[in-house]
Amino acid sequence: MRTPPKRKPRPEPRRSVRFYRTLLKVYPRKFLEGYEEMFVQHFLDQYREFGVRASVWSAARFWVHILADTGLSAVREHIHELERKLAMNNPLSRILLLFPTFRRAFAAVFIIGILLTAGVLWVLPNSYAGTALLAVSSHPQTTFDSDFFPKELNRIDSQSILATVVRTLDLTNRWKDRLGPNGSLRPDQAAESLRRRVNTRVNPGTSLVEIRVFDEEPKEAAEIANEIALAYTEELNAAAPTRVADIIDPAAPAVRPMRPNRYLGMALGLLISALAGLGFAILLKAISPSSSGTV
Amino acid sequence: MQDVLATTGGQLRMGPGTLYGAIKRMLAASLIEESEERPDPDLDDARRRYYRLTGLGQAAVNAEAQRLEGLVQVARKRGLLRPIASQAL
Repeated sequence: MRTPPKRKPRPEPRRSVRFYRTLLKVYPRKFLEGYEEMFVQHFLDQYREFGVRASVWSAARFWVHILADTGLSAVREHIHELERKLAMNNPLSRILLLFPTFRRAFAAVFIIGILLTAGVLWVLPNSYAGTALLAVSSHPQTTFDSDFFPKELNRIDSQSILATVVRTLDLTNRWKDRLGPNGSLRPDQAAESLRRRVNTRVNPGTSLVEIRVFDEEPKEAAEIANEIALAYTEELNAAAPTRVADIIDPAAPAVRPMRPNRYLGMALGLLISALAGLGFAILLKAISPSSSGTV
Repeated sequence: MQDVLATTGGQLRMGPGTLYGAIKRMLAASLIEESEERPDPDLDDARRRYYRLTGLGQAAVNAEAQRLEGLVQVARKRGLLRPIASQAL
């Protein structure tokens, strides 16, 4: 009777192991420390379990399983590693580390909020203010009119004054590239755009009128404010028997932009992001049934 | 791992990354610890590591099992859980 030939143990799939060892480099180094041989051993166990050498289908299933497992767990371990590093350098994170769900939700919303705020503040164009100060009084012979200053403020940004300024400073031509829809700007469009940039007010308790103009160029803002002040005083003085309006402090180009106030914007962004993060984290913790046992 | 595969009816096959990630986190949370007890040298592999549940791990397993049992009881009470025999029919 013939005895069956003794089956030789199959050699280790060297190329597959070599490839898997290369694949392991996607994990954080610290995660793999002292565990690499165990990973390879487990890989070999599963290599045999799947019967990789039996068919191409088994081999395909095995590699899909290994690649998916490695890819997903590597992403997870990198996130854990990043969180660990952040927690080490941040006292607030150390406290929040006690509540993993809480911490992640808070951090996600907080970071998104800050990035959004920084992005918006970065994109917003600088706006400079040019402010001219006028002394305006009603005609001395007329009786006191409580509507005098509201009427005068309306007169300052009236169509006639603004049209004069547009014409004098040739704003249709100067603004056509910046504001014109097709590279051209009509005088009425320029006047409308100018109206949106003008802000007028009476200093409380005085007869001083402030004309403030916002523009991307500090020099232009001052120039327009002065031109409006001039057009207004000329119109007012021409209609009155005596001089009733004078420019007492012409506008000068501003050194710093008025809008946006980036320090204030960033401080508000930080505060709102923190509150939104806190609210979202509390909500998530309240509605999540597994929030307490995460490791 | 073969035990996990058998217990879950072949539905859960943990890859090395998932397995050792879970082991590391359980070690960090003191739910398990490395054991120095090793099986018979004929059955052993020097590269293997052995772990056992800590007291905290045992308590966590117990609490989780009780939580799941409670859920099953609620499902059964509300008629959401059919007996296995009737499911097979």
